[in-house]
Amino acid sequence: MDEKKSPFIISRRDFLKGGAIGTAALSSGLLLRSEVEAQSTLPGAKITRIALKINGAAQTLEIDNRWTLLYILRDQLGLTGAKQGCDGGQCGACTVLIEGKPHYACMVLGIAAQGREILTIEGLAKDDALHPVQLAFVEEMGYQCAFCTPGMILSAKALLDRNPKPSDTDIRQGLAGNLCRCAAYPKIIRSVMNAARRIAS
Amino acid sequence: MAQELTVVGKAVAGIDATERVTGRAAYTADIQLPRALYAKMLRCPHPHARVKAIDVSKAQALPGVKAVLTPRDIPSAPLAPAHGSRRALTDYVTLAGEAVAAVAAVTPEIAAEALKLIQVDYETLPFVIDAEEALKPTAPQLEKEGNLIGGRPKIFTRGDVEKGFAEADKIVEANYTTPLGTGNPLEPRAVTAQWSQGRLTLWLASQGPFLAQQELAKYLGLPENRIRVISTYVGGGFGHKYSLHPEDVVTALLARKAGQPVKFQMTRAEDMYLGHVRGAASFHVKAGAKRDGAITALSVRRIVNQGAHGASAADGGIQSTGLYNVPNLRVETLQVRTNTPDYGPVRGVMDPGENFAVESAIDELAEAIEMNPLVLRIKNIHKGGDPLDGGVTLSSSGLDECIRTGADRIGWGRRKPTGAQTGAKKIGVGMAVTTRTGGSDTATAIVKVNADGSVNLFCGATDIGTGSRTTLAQIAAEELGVRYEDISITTSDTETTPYSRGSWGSGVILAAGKAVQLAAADARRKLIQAAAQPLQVKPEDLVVANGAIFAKELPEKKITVGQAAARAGYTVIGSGTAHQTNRPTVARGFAAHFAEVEVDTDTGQIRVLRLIAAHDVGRAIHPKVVENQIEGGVIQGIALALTEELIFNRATGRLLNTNFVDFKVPTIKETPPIEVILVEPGDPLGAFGAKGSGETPIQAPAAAIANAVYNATGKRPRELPMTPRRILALL
Repeated sequence: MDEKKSPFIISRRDFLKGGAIGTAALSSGLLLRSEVEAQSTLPGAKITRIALKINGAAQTLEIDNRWTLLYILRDQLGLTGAKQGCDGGQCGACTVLIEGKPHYACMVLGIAAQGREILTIEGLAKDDALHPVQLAFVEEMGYQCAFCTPGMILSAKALLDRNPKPSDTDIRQGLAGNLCRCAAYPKIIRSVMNAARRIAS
Repeated sequence: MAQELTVVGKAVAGIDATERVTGRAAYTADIQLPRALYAKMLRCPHPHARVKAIDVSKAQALPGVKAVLTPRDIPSAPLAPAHGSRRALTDYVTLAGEAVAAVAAVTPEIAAEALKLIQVDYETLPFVIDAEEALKPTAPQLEKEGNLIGGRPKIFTRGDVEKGFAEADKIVEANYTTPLGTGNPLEPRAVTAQWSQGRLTLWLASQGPFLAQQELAKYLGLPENRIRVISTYVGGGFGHKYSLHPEDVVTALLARKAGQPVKFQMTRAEDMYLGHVRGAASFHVKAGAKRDGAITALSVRRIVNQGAHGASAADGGIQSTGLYNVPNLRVETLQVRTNTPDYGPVRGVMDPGENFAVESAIDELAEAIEMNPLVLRIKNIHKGGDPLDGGVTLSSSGLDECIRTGADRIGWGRRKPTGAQTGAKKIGVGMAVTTRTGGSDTATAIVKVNADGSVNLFCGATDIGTGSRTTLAQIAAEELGVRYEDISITTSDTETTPYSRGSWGSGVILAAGKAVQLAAADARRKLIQAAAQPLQVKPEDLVVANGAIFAKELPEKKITVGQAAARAGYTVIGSGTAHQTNRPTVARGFAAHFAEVEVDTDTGQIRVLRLIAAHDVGRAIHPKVVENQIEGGVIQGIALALTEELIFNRATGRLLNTNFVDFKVPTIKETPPIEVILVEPGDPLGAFGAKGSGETPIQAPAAAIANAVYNATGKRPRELPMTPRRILALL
């Protein structure tokens, strides 16, 4: 899961940690209360205007500093392809690509994504023409319930972008941060092999 | 089936594949309604407590809070049979995490804040976690009846088990235990509720929207036509999304009280134990056989930790009764209430654990009579046409072929003698067989043929990831005589699709699949009737294929399916109902699994090197759909064998590992090479010979791996999961 981290992005966990240390004197339930205050525009709310490039389109948004990228995508922008499976950086169902690298959107704060280029599953197919990775997942049936599929496909795309000819081990390593509880793993591995062939040809 | 099949058996693209790979498939939490509120539940932290007083006034006064509910505000009836005595909100808590109040607010944060403003005065009570502890008279009693559900053990007998043991040349006897587990689908349970003019629409992550509708109607005192349940895309089920759940009715009641739509989604931690779990169980197995390999007697005593509310879903394991022709049998079951999560439907329910116990015992029995365990199994398994308990007959069995082809593939003949290896890392090979009844269900389907030749298929069965939407469309296309591409399918919406009992118990293919076939045949007959007059051919001489209706002997004399539909009134409706309940014959899926493992005797680590899964599926309507079911089930079965276990803090009565990190779910890295062998003898009950295959795959890996560990080390694991700690203790 190392590759999900990148030095220039402040993770939600780090942010919460830092916030808690800075304000521990006030009260134990402080973080939660602050979120409510922010949303109710009570004193303490910190709203920031940020610019994001999502699926190629520039967006300017007013966000609460504590909103995660996942919340912004799903509840503010209606981009529900990224799924919330755990909200704790464990399952990978919310994986999106930031500057081409896979990140758990539930662990990235909106303010930390300021100015970044974000690709969600909605932006992968161009003009209704499926991306080779998507075509491969269709052909090999690399899914069952498919709740993990948007994140799995984006992780696979990022893997193939940096390693166009992955070995079986490379694929397992590259997708280790994306859980599939149905365990369609054998067909997912075949799908990524298939996608590599499609991209090469 | 004189005609060659054109769609059935082919690996067509999934009918909803594009939706699934583009993120357009809308799961329950993806449904966005204007003004929707966010619900949260206030959960009791104690495993056994009474609510002495509850004050919600501060929560109600918080700006942004639109509705608050306590047990006083909801119907007092229990929720649904699958939850036993559990109430949607309660003031008598027997399970840590039960909800005592609920709120709906304009943001999730305000809802969370409101929960903190609710003041609850609890009287905490002593609690009990283990079933055997709970049976002691000194244990805290959870309900008036006591902790033994029904007040006495349930006993099933066949023949005379004492006589059977007296006839045996050898007897083996041992105790096996299996842990608390969870199905844990990646999509947590979710619900969105909206009321309009006294009618409720519920988007629900459910395996059975019709069961939810029925239970909700009863609970709310409303007719079924005022409740619409929609479960279009469901992110995995594994039993967890069977039946109505407390949060579903609470969300509906919050929406009614607030006068606004309300949405709710379980957190991962909530979802891992507050639905249906796989209860901990112990199996005391005694088995006897003659030297010639005739199993003369089998006795199994099951002590099942049923959890807090006495739901009885775990009663049904058939590995003791249903695998072998044992003339003398006794199965005793003690279902025990404890302050732990409720044992409900979970993929395979009791069978994976019971299979581990029984198939380990059979392996041990084979050694005792000095017989190849494969031969002992072949001698004793049920054959197609065999009489079963309850006066029914087994419709078909390809288990013999599964055993032989699987053994061939793994190289069973080259298996090393038990315990013969030196060195720290030892290789072993083991096998297990399993079965499961599928399809004790009823379903109706409707086929609508349009004047352009396109077809709408309406079927209530939910596709929870099993590929049933695709499979059912294939059956319709094949039976009707149109192309797969001509079919559009609508599923799992109680208002627009006919009844289908639900996606569980390996039942969809047998019930809904047959209903679709009957509906398509009905539509085909009507199309042929409409075509007979213009073609001037007798109906019995007409056939439908590839979207055209033509004379058998004169293929150029034809009209299209669309033209026939136009003549019949621009719409042709076919309908079909399949009752697969209470029939004289029973269809069962079968499997034989063969595992090759490496045991590191220094670390206790077990590595599965290879797993061969040979499955009798009747007929695979779509080979990749079936392989997916088997491969995924096997991986889940390996996890039951090696890693998955919910663990209690015994001081607090709370679970310690309700997350994906500490509860060890397999990742893609833990996927061993799995070789699926499809055995397709055909079955007389199902559409095109198909039968269920959703649960057999999870049932046999644990026993196959345990038997392989024995073959490698000469020591027999009797506790799941086989963690390094347990294996080191064993060695």
